[in-house]
Amino acid sequence: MGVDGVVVPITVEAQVEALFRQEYVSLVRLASLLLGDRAASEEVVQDAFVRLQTGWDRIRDPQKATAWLRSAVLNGARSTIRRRAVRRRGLEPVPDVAPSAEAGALVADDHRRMVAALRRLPVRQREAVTLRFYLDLSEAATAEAMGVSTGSVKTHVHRGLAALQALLEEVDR
Amino acid sequence: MTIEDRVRDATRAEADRVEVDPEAWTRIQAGVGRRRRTQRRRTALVAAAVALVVGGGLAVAVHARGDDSGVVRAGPGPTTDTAPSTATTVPGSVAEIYADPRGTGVWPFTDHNQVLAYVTDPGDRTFYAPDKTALAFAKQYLHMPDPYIVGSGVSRPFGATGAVVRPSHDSKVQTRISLLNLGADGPFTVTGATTDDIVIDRPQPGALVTTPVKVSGRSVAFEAAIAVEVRLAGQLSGESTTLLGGSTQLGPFSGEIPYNASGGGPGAVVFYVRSAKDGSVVEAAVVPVLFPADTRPLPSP
Repeated sequence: MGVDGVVVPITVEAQVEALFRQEYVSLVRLASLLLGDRAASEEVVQDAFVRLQTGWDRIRDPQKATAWLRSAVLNGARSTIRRRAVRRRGLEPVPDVAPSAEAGALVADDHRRMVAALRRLPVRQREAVTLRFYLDLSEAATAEAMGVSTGSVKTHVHRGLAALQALLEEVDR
Repeated sequence: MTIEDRVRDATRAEADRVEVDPEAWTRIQAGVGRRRRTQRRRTALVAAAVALVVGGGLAVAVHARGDDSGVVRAGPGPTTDTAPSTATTVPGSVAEIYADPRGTGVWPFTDHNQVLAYVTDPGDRTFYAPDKTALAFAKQYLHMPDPYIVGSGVSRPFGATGAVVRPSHDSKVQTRISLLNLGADGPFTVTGATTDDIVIDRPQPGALVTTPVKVSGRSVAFEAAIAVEVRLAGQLSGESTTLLGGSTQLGPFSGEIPYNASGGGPGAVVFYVRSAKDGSVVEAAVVPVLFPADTRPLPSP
């Protein structure tokens, strides 16, 4: 509502810009956790915003634009992972864990080991664990973002956490 | 510390290290510009394809000729039973097809100005969804009291779309509604409808018709009765006429349906089967036709 009760139309660009300010950093960080590559993550998130703005008319409920963006980012990240898998086919996976030589960096090392282990999970488990514990989404919101049932989310999270535990123990040994 | 807490701490610490591109918004807007240019090019291509399809269909219709047997054969002359005095031009370019009301289908748009008015009005979005368009068509045009959409599908990139509608949830009778997407991001328009219980030989889709409109085909309905109407620009023109086909299996029907209208344009001949229980419309066939601009109502006898 504008001055003196006059309704001021909000342009699509203004609405998308508001969402950008609110969600962009968080979405890039989400994509970065899944992909481990900032440039690729920004590309995925920027593409999601481009599609949101150009297809705004087709978003049935603008209140759900954030959920739509999250799903678009997950889909984009999945595509990037698939393309990488094709490019890297036949190559040995490169260990991503480099223990620090500095004694003071033990906590940071633990975090790096955890993130490295997370990135070795199957894509769906990685998404479910990241959405549940990084974004603190509910099971229902995670299911909506991933386009699966809440039952599947529970399964992916359960298996993902078990696999993480096993991977970390393997590294510790 | 649980594994969940460790994941939480690690992912947040990792995420906090990620710095974002300060030019991201500018890059997004550049991407929006690029995408819109691509969409405009795609829309022009679709329009060109529609022009080819509709233009080709009209060319066939204009050069086809119906005779008293009801069989339409290819040949010189219009499909009318009384030849129109004005020549029918077939659109030959994208600009023409968009300026030509025949490119807008049967309903809800009957001319290009209505399409333009709709796409520039940010209010109602019903006709951007094929299933909603088909449902509205079943309710408002076919007057089905409580229609139910069984399914719909879009064939990209040409926008050929179909939806199947039943008169109610518990009915098995189906009407297949054909829709056309007016541009890649445009609204849908209905281009016709078919049903298994009414097979129409005449008029053919796209035919140029004058009053009385000669109709023929085969049908099966309660007490063999089907209702036939002529609609000009979406509005009933003249009265509904009852014709008799088959009552237990497809049987032939034929007749002449007079209509009262001045001016020409797109329209349709609509064939209905009504419910034995309450007389409501249960299925329908809709054939898009063209009324020549110089047709005048018949003088009173």
